[in-house]
Amino acid sequence: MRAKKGFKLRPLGDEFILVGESLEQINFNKMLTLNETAAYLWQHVSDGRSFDAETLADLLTEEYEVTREQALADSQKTIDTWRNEGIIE
Amino acid sequence: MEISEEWSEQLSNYSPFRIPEDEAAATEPLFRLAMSDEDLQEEGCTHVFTDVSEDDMPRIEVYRAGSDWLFAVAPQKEASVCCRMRATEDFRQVRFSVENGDFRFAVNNAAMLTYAFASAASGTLEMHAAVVVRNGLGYLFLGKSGTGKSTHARLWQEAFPESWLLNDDNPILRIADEQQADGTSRRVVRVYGSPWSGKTPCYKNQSAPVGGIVKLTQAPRNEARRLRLPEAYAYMLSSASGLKIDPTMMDTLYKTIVEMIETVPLYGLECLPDTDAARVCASAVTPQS
Repeated sequence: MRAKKGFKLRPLGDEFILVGESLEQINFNKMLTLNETAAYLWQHVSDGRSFDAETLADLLTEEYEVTREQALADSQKTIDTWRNEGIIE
Repeated sequence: MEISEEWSEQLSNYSPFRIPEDEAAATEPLFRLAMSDEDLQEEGCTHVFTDVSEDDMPRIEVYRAGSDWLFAVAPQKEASVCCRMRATEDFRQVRFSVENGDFRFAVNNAAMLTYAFASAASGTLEMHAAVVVRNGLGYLFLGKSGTGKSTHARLWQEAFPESWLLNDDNPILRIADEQQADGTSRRVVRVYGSPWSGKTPCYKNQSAPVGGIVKLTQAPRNEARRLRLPEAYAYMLSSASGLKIDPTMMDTLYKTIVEMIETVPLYGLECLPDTDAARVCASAVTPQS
């Protein structure tokens, strides 16, 4: 998977929002709300590098007290959500 | 903006905002807008994108010409271009041309777009909203075209005879330090009338501190609720004028909107077109009423 180009992550209160502020995403009229963990993951893949659930699970276990198994499950869920929202390809 | 006498009648919507010449001479303007006979055609410019936010809203073709912006504006989606404008990157120097004869439409569109883009870069928002003032506080009604912003504003005036319309379509929002009666200073969000007000001629050079901002949705009931920050941000962003592809402008818009939604409350109102909707809305936004 790769993050699509042209999204901007912005802090808002104790959450984050992801908005399509660019020519590439001019027709992306949604706005996504990300919690701190999802925002942390997005920041590490938003440069367009290739990633999968393993990559995200590595990031999660580095930063949070979480088992590998749980991290993998959460990562897969995150990828599914992102794919459904159309922000990764 | 300088307006010659022969046009001032057609542009009477600007009269309430006119300032004395000596005052104007001593002020550095936000922008200068000049009508131009020059060729403002888009040949040789790079087409960037087409902005058609809603069906009955103007269509704006956006081009770059070096660091300059070039806009070709049509009154509706399928209509032909009636105004071209060429702006410096910071929107402080703008020339515009009138195409196909509708002078009034061309001037108002050029002035409104220029104002929106020049002010968005300096912490002010030009909103798509209707505003009523009640007991000294301004209430903004947001929503897509056809949602009933104007209708809801009229219903407030029917339900509360002491309330009045400040602007019906394009008010200005600003957040700034204001001196309070007790001598302290605090950040206040204030709403201003403007020379643009959609189909309703309501050009008031007045302002009020904002009491609340309400996003309207048509529904078979009247129900108000407080919006969470992300919702509030999304509705403010889609109601404020701005160039989505200009990163500097979007950074400033973001900062301005965040500060505003942390200062004034935003509500969602599901409503019918009746005076009960105005009462439900008012009791949500004015806790003591």
